[in-house]
Amino acid sequence: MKVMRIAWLGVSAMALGAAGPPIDPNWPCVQRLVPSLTASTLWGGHDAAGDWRANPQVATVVAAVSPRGISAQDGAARLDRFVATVPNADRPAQLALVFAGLVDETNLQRAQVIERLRGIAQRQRTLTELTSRITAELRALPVDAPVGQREEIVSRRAFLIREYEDIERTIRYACEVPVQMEAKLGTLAQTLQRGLAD
Amino acid sequence: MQNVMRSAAGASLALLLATSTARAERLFVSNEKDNTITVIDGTTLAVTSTIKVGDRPRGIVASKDGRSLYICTSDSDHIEVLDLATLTVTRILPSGPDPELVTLSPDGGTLYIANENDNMVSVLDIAAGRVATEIPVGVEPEGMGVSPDGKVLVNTSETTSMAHFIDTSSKQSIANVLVGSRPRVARFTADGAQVWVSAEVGGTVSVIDAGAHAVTHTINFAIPGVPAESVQPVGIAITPDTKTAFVALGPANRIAVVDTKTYEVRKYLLVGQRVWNMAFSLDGKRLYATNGVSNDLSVIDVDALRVTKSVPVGRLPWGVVVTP
Repeated sequence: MKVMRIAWLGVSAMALGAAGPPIDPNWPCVQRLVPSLTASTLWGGHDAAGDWRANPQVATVVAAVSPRGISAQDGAARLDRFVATVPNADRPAQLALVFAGLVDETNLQRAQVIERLRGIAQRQRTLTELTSRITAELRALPVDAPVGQREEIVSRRAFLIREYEDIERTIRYACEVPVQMEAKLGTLAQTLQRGLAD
Repeated sequence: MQNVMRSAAGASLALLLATSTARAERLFVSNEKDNTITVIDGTTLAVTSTIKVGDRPRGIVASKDGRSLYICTSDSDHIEVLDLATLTVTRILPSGPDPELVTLSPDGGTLYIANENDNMVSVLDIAAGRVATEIPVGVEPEGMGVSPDGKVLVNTSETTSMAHFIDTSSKQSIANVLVGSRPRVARFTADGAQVWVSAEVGGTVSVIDAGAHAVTHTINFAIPGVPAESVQPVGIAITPDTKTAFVALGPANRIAVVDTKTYEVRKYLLVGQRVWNMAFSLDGKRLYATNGVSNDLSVIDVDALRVTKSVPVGRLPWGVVVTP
């Protein structure tokens, strides 16, 4: 196999100021961080007017559907039952209010998950720094240093690397959690949209 | 009278068959999380088969004769060739590590494969079944587009935010063009005059003059009520008459409809969640878009600019291809 060598121009995107916002160093996921969701991202219906918490029926259904333990399927079934109780004329306003509540509650849960993910990213950065420090310590060790001392540093370094790799393996799955929350919200949005179309 | 009825029935049947022949196309969708390809009837939009393939199928492209589908099975580190008559994987081709995306040369003989993890584009000779050349490119290569005459390959580098223009004969770099942050897809217009490059983090599409190697327009997207961070352009589909471009905006759950003369966004279409890649039906009247979070395919009426249907597919649908 022939490997062609290309003389790249060596232009640094940073030097030229590549267009785009800075990347959050404490965000460990491949997906770009979207700090909070909005109704308009998923919803083609009316804008909600008023406070959803002030409407007892709406507040009750939001509280029943939004907990993380309630699956998208069960939440959708509960919403279907709620929609059936709302007269057609009231649906545009009422269902928009329900969706506003679901977005608020999802954002609260999602913010907690995002915080935990940021914590994971910080831990990884700390582990990287500690590993670099121990590596430097190892390199600086005189050749005639006692074997026990060298083994102790090597073992500390291996421990840190193992922890880093363990965390790295779980990040891909942890990053799926906010996505799963968005998927559930999307299913609930579709359920309410169907209620509008009935 | 009976003869008239019989011939009328015959004519209806002939018409039905003719219609069905004209529209007898199939859609193939790669499902990254399910390790499957969903097959959809282009007339009824019903799922007709789900085929198990290698790990993490993402980029897919049909052969020129429409008989095969080349599938980047990223975590299996190879390309699988799906025979479209038998719907079985009949051949495994080498690809280099972690193939994400694949582009076919206009003559159908070469596959260009982006290897994200080793900063290479592998050039695969399909007939020989071997990687003929590896081209070192920018860090984390992503999108790729080949000019209609096959002479230029454009590859985007995720980390350096550049579109690299490469001469396909000499494999030498011609130019590096700075675009928006995390460029994902590079698409030549049918006349070869422009290359459109989407930037997932930058939230823009750069329109590059393919001759001058310079960005002539930068398209921005602003959707009322949708956070700027959600606007993540990825897939680009340009109508064969080059008048309209469709840009998939990822978790904004919208496809932007762009006038290619004025570069104005005419409309945003609300589709499924995290809309990613797109393909036109063979008659160009429909656009199909994969939605990676809602696990469905949106069907868009191109003339009416309306979303007409959602077809459930596998988990994390990535690419879509239409074949006769």
